[in-house]
Amino acid sequence: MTRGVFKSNKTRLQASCLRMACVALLLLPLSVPCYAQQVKELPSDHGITGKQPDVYWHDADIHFDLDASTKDWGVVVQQGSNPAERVPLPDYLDQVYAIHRVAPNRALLLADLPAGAQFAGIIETPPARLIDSFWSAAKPSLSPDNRYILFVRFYPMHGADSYDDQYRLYDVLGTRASNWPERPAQDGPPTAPVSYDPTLAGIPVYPLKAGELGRENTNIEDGQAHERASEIIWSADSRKAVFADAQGGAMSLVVVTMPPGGGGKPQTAVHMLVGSENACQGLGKPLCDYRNVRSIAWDGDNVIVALRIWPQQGKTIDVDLTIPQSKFLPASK
Amino acid sequence: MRKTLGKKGRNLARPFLHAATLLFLLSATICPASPPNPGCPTSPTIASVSPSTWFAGKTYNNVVITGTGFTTADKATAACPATPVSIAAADGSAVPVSGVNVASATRIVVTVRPPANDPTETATVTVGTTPSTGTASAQIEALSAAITRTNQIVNGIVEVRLDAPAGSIGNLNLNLNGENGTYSQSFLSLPPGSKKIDFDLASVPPEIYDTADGIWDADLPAGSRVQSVDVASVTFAKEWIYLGLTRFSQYNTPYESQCSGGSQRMYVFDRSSCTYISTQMNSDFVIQTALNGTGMSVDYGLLKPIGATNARKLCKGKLPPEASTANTLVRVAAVTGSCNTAITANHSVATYPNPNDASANPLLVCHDSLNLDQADNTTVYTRVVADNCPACIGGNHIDSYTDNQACEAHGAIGDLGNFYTSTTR
Repeated sequence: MTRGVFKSNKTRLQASCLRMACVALLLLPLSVPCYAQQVKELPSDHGITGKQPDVYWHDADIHFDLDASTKDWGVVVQQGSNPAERVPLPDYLDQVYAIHRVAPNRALLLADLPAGAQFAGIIETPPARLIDSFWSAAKPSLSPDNRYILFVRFYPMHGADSYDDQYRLYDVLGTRASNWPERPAQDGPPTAPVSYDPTLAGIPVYPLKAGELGRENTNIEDGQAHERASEIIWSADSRKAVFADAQGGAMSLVVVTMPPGGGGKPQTAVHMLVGSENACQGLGKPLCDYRNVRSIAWDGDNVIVALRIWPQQGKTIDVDLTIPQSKFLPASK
Repeated sequence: MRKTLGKKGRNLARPFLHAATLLFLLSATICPASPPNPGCPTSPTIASVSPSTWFAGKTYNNVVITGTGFTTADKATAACPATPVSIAAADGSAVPVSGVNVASATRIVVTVRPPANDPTETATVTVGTTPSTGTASAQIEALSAAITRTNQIVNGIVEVRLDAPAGSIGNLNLNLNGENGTYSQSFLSLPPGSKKIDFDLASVPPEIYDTADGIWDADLPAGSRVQSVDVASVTFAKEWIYLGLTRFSQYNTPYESQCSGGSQRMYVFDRSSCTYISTQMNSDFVIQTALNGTGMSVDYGLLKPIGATNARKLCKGKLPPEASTANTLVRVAAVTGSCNTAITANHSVATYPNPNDASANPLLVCHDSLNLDQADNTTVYTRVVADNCPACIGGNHIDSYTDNQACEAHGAIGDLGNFYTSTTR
């Protein structure tokens, strides 16, 4: 895992080798070897400064450097003694905050878009080029092994009456066909109105219920919209991710299990917090969103969730729950 | 009752006291003078009172009055009762005295409780009954601490008044009391006087605060010990909703005239007639409009991406083929937020949860006025809640609507900044 703030190179070298590459080398044939590594990315709470800071990923065999020295931004890829290549970036990016090498021949670029939207782009080499990209309505969550991105389908960031958070999974080692199964064959910006929905990257993982799967994600009927209520938390082995989702005053924990061996479909399981686990039992003061979730963590196959209940009177009540995997049921389809 | 009289009460009492004195003098001229108490052999006198300096609001359980001619309880008779003790402030009002113990003909022990709101003044200690009395002077020293103003609490500022003898100094511990806890901050080595107190906004946790109180530990001069003075609880006129340090990103309505990209074919949809036209529009403009939720076109006025409108419901079956956020924009009359009011540049902000969704119990609601402060408790900007910001989930993030017409990205519209943010309601 390589996320974080501006750590010293030494720290990053240790962190990357210990947490990602050395372990991953044993597990995944496509993973990144344990090269000497220097990484510079923005802290998770960065703002938009108006001047693009340096961002890069350097391994011993390849360098990915953001070049924002002119109005035409790009990523300069320097592989061994080969001539440097420049990958042009879309001119609508607001600020690039991270580059991750995700495979020997691939890198992931993450950027802020205007109005709080997010961009993810896949760079492949050789030849160096941007092979795919998509937008997200919230910061995409990258698995510790850099293989998968869980994200919220894009919607316009202002102006709608309500928003439905629809979670999708993108495989950064996948193909365009595997990552855009719901979009017709036409790729790239259309020159004319065509059957083309650029918000449908990845495959849907939640909600999956009939009537919810595939619906529009704005102007949803009252009480029907899904709303993310926590960060997305990955297991250390990148096999599972969990997050909290609220809908109509009810809170659920959602576990997405990655496809075994990288093939097949992910599995989604849901545990609704009811009864004594109900964090939204506001006693007449409804509160059912991220404020109810203090933290989520993995403990083996168990999900540890720290909840906060907001009663109508008096102080808040904190409840800590351990929820075994057996309590999660397959998401309805 | 002196204890319940504030300064106003004391001022009101003066005419009555003067009237009482006049009545007494009139009585004296009409009635014969009272003879000396025949049962008491001598009139009492006071040689000393110890301690003779009392701090307002404190209780002194062992004030010793020494002198002569005191009548103890065991020697008291109906004609000559045990020597009474009274204390009067400079304006004639009574200082509470209790537990009078005439220990001997030369020693009386009493408890004295000068009210907390007493000013610095001289008091007169009297033993015996008129006209057979003895008197001595004592000193009352003002000692109080109070929160006097809270009208700047939105900046994390209160005003306090500390009263104590000159030369006093002490630490003031103030508490901000909220729904879920209390924040305490110490202000060190404060002398008497009126003070403006700036809470450290960086340390105050986000919370809804409604009262403040505290303690002033006044280290008094001349060897007196430290006196703890309660700061009475004060309820704010409005609750102080403090959000803490908050990032203010900015969004805008991009203008197509400012865009430099190529063109692409688009649908422009009119909700009033449920009709559409196919046209060419600047591709950068299309992208920026999809992101920000509105855009000002050159030929069609204000537009919104179809996903940010109710066009799909309003005109079902009459939409362009395969209408999507990428290819269809809808004409609108004004830039409105989720509060259903036109949003104003450099004035309106978008927050999360939706400020217009009561069922979400949002902390900030439509029309809340926000103060954006620097660390020095001064306001840099004010903003009003008018829109929903789904990207602001997690707290500490608000999106501010700007008049910047930029169509480009690359940080063209940077953050407004990070500010200590609060409102009162």
